[in-house]
Amino acid sequence: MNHSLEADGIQLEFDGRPILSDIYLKCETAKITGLLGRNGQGKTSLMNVIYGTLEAGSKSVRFDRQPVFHAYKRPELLLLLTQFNFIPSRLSLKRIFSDFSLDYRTFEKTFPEFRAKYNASIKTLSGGERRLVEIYVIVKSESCFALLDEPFSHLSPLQVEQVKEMLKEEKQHKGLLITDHLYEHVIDISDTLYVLANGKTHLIKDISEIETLGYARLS
Amino acid sequence: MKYIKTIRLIIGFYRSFFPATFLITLCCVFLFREYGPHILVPLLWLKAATLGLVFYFINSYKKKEFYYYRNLGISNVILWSTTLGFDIVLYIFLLTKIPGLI
Repeated sequence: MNHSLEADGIQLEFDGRPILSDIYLKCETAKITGLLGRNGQGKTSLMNVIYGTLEAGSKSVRFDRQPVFHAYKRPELLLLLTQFNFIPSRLSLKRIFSDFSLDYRTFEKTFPEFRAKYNASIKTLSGGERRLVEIYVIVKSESCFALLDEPFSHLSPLQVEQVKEMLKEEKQHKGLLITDHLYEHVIDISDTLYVLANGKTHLIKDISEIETLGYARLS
Repeated sequence: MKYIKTIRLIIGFYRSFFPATFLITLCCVFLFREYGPHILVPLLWLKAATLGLVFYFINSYKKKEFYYYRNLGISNVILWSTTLGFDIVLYIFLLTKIPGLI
């Protein structure tokens, strides 16, 4: 079944400085939606407003056209991969996969480097491995949508390609919203692309608009 | 099954500060045994203040971990209300077990 997640009417300001003012964003099942924007434009804030952990002056977040106020209370609807490590460092991989009801053997098949690490604590992993586990549990868990904030940071080029394949595979039955400064990868896997600039989301119809909006110089 | 998992997650969160709060509880029990019921009120205030400190430090230094629990459907309110509630009940239980109070 296809679902939609829409966000608009968001007014957010910090210390009187407007951050988000003219937002419209739509995610759908079977699509990867990319969100690009320079530092400080409010990409992470937008994700937190959608997730419900950041209060905005006003907002409208709708799941299948029905308003949702605190999406973080409904993991079956929406999950968030934060840009920082969020898994408690004391936990073992065994415990993490059990908490998220995921099969470790399937994970091992995709990422053989994790063989024999089932009982290892996540704090013993490298930064890239730790990030990979976090991406995997968020993307593979049963949820209609996932918001991914800088998923490619800390990953090696090979791991980035593996994650991109995983996202393409997983989008068959969920909607993904992704933001990352490795914009070429985001552009590569996105079906719909937005640029957030001056508090406003711009739906990109032609890739050259990214340059016009001052986000990146395309070679 | 869902409830068992929720309880397990809450216990996991509680373990992150249980040693500190239980140590305070044991100290209070010891002081109560030594000095008797007339220091009950200060001991209750001591426990409340230390729980407040724990609440502040966990919220400040481990706030990133709350996203782990949120992604598993457990809000901060549930985490704090259950763990602090249990800790207070445990505290009262251990104090009232001391002969002479009741």
